[in-house]
Amino acid sequence: MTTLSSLFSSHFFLVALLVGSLVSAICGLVGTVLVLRGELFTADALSHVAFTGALAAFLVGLSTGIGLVVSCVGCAIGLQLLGRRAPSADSVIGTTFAWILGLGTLFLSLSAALGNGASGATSTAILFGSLFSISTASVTFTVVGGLVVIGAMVVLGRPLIFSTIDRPVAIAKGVHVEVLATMFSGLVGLTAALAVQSVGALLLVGLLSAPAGAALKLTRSPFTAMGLSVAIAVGSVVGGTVIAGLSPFVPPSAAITLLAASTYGIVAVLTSVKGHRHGH
Amino acid sequence: MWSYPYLRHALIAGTMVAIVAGALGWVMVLRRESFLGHTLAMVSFPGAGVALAFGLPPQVGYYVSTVLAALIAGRRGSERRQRDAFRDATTGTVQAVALAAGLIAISTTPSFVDSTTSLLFGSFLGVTSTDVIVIGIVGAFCLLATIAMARPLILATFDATTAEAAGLPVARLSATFTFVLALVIASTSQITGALLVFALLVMPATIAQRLVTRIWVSGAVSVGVALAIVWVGIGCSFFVPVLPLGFSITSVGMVMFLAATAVQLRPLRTKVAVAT
Repeated sequence: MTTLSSLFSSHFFLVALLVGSLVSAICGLVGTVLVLRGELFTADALSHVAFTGALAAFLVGLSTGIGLVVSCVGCAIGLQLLGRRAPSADSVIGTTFAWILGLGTLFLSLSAALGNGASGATSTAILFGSLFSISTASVTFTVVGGLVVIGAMVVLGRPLIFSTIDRPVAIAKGVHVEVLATMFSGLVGLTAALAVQSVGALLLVGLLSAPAGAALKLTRSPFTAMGLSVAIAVGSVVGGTVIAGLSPFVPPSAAITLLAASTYGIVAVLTSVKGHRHGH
Repeated sequence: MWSYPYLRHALIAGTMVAIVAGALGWVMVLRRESFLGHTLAMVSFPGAGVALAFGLPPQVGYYVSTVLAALIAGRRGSERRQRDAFRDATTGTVQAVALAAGLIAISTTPSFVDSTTSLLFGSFLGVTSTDVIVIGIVGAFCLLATIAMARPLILATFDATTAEAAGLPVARLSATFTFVLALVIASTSQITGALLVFALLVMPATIAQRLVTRIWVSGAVSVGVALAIVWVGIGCSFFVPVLPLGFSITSVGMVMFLAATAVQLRPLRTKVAVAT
């Protein structure tokens, strides 16, 4: 039986905590803006693009990190530029990522045909993350990338929220709305790439939506919401990692997601009860 | 090609799935509910995983999980604008919870990697005759239900205020459509896999909307495009076995989408030329 104290003295666990906290912090930040902009579907699309990008990198023998960053950032910016002119952006996004995912299945079957036995395990690791087996290179990669996202969000935060909440006034005030949107897409892509390594492609959307949803229920101020969302996301990661470390049956990404989601669920129920009591 | 029973089953099931997904996907895209549709599709995978872990057939898991998710994520408040952000957040969270539960369930089964791959990417060529019958019944029910509520549903989609003023139960229509969509996704998942149901829902509709503007015609075109995608896709994978079916189907869709975009842009250019 693993005890709490032995858990906190083990190297892999501390690395998981560090990487997980950083990734969840940027997911909390970026997720709040994504929810406010109604662009969560883009992140959903990126989680599939990540799968194909990582498998492509695996197939040609590059590191999955490179495949993830190139595919996610490239696709996020590409969809933003494509979607701007399209009358119904989400069906274009859907069509594109359905095909990219189809491409991923081709890479999967190609690497199986080439006799590469590790492809199945790689695809599972990409889909569900591997927080407890992160390499030193990935740690450096996550820390650098995470700091870039946090720095950019601090600089871009105010104009970004402004252009999200009141786009016409922001344009009138001379904010470069389109440039901002494209830069933000790049940040979402980078966040997705970093997060896929730890929580996995399939659970990325949860870490982007649940803390942000809970925070936005608790406060009306977008900046307070960003802070709260980061706190909830980091809290879920610390709690989830401890649970997964103590129990051999629960994968860390599942525990993290369930904690973040139950926070959102509880907050939603409490605020609706409070709303009814005040007669709204 | 016709002498293989598994291929006959795949073609019959594929044809039924294409008709139903082409029609419902078209309504889904009009309603801008791609994210919801995709979430329902994602949820079917953990549903099957949990069912397998309890020793139940995966079909049970598909239906229970998508309908459950439709009930939670498909609710839409009357003050639409304000609630949309939360509806998105709720949809994403439902998707993540289901996937997390599925991950726990499936990691306790010994053949983790194999069953994950087949649940996500489907086994089109392993369709049995029972599957064909079930898909046929569910598909027919969903198609009839959608046709029956098509007119009020479309009005509620384009102009919710007018629809409400005309006395239409907008919220109930929306919930009913989400429920029907969930049933279709569950029945389609077992052959296309959770990840590619969505392709059959979104691609034909997107292509049809680029080709025709008249509303009911575009619905019919969407069904036709879905049939073409499925038939050509199955044909490609049959003759070139290294191509997985998911890749063939989505690639046929992507080629048609690019062609439709080119067709849509061309008249614009000639009009500009005439004007100048």
